[in-house]
Amino acid sequence: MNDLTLRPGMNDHFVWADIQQGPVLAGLGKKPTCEDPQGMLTLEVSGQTVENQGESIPWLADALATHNTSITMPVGKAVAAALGGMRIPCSS
Amino acid sequence: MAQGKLDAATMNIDSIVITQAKTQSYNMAINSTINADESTHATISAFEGTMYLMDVDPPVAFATLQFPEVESAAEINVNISQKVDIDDMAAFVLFNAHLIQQKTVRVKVEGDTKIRVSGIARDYPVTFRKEVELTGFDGFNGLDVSNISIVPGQADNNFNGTTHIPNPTIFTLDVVSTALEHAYEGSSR
Repeated sequence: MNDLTLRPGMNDHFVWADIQQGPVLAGLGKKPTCEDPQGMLTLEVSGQTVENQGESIPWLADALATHNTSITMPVGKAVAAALGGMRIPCSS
Repeated sequence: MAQGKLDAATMNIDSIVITQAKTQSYNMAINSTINADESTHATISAFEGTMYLMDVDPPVAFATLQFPEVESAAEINVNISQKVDIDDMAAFVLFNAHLIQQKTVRVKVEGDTKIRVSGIARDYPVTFRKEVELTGFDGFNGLDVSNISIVPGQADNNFNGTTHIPNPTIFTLDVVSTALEHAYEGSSR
């Protein structure tokens, strides 16, 4: 994320990532994700780095590192949309 | 008697805005309200106050603030905005970790000062000591991502979306230019 100001209340912000597709595709092929129309997958986010105008901010990065944030998202549905409707089948 | 009246006053922190984040310092703007017994007219001298995280044993000092002179009244607004140097990085990281993880965080503000009561030509040494309970980020409970777009077969920039980050606290953090995250599949299933 860039240029994030976290205000009281709900904060909507654009986020992007470079995702390693192997583990994600493997995750999509497991139950119950492969049987779920939404293809919900849980990702845990950790090891964050925080910068402000070129300076590292360890007092936020190290504090964030003590906490694993879990995000559950309809990854399967997004992948299917990208693949023209093709779903990842259950691997077993 | 002056210490007793000071102890009886209550303090509420209304907002805390963190800006100008640097590796060893930040700017903190605190708006607070102190409710006191208005029957005594007194002046509390400017003082240096230390902020403590009270949820650990022993409590840990994580910031030092310069408080201005205040005149007592039923309700006093104390608004300060100043650069804070991080004297103890480990302590400040500990406070932020509690603020991020917990539903609430207990903080104490303490400093030695003087009080001058109207009509009495001397200063009395007193200690300003107030504890407040601040709402924490509760581990960003409720955070989610929508409008997800994935580009399979591409290694870089192959995922984007809109994240919704809840902030139930009184803190505004204007500090982040870039936050890089490393994600892996959760093991909760």
